[in-house]
Amino acid sequence: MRAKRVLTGLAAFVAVLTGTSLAAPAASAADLYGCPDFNLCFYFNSGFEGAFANYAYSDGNLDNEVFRWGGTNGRGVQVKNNAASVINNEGWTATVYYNSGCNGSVASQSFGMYGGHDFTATMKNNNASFKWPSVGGLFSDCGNRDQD
Amino acid sequence: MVTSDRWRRRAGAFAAAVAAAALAGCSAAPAATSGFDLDAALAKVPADVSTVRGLDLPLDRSLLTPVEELEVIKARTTLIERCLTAHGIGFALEAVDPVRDATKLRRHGLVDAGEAATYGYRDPAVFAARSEAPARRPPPDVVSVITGTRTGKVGGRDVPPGGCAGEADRAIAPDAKPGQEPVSFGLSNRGYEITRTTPPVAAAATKWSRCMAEAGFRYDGPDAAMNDPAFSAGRASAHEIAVATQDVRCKERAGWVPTWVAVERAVQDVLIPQYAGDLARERQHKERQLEVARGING
Repeated sequence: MRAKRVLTGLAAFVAVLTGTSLAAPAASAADLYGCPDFNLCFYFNSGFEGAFANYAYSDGNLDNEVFRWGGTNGRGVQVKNNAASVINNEGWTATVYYNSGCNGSVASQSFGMYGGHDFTATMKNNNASFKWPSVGGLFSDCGNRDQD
Repeated sequence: MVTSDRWRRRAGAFAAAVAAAALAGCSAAPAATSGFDLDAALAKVPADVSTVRGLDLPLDRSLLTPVEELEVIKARTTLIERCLTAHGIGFALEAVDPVRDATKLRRHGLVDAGEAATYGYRDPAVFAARSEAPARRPPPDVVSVITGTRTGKVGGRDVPPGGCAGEADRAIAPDAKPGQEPVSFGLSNRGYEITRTTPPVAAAATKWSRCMAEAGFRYDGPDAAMNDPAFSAGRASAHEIAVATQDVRCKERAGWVPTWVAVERAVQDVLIPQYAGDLARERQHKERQLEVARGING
């Protein structure tokens, strides 16, 4: 599933740039803490530990994905409101929201490209949605999509 | 007009109700109100909240706003680019626009009549025109220099520890942790949760609900309207716009914003002294990273 998702994201990216699609997954030496390139990853534990979930597109509600890869701690737990750290292995800034729908009515937290952070005390376990705000289309439309 | 005494009298019964609700809930996390001196906070709420002006809060001093967060990220991106250049790699990274890209917080829910009439409850930023791919993603050999997964010399110079991103983080913040201040942010959001449960805010929510009901919309409080699942996909319907527009009108009638601000200021005033050392340190940390970032951004 993970390989499929990474391939899907990568294929969409290549298609955007070149109008073509990939026939096979590219080798990725650019994983960060297991997080595939071109993805935002949420980890069940702080310090990028425990199980993680990866996202190639923005998502208005993280309630339909679970921590699926990596460590065993948290494996199978819903991502929404249960993440303790995040890796942004993408070339764009990511913003994570306290509320679903990328509506930052209470709080949001932004993460620069190619970096990892533990969530602050309140965003920990209050991650409900996210997007890459400087980029268009699927990366910032905040659609509620199933990326599991 | 309501008096602080009246709120204090009701606080005991309310605290018991909150405790009962917490016990009935399934979450193992401690309630935001646990150990909080609600009486002390209510004593600080002005008797007449209609006199409250502005939206500023005490914790703002040590918090990065969403725009400031992106100012720091913009500077970090510039430093990464400069580092790449020093290693013989010319690559234009994401163009961060703090004002354009920052979250527009709705701390008090939807309060803008113009937004309500156009977007309902949706975030207007979601509908802003964006290029599909405004910046090329760096290729893997460049990413490896940014992240430090590649070591040794590149362009005749050693890749710094943690890559160009690590070097940028160290330049912006002495602890190499640029970004939001964790204690301040956590306290701010704890204060938000406490504020939501206080008698003055609950009373304002009741007034708001009555006002909404007059227009035929039945919600327990502003959160319920904004989080209505019917308002979560696609563009706003005529019904959503009608609810949102009435929501803004009823918030004005219920004195929602000044009530919320008055209470939240009081709540933060009670929380802050317990974390004075951490908050002073974070205020310095915030000012330092902003100063560096603005020097880089120009």
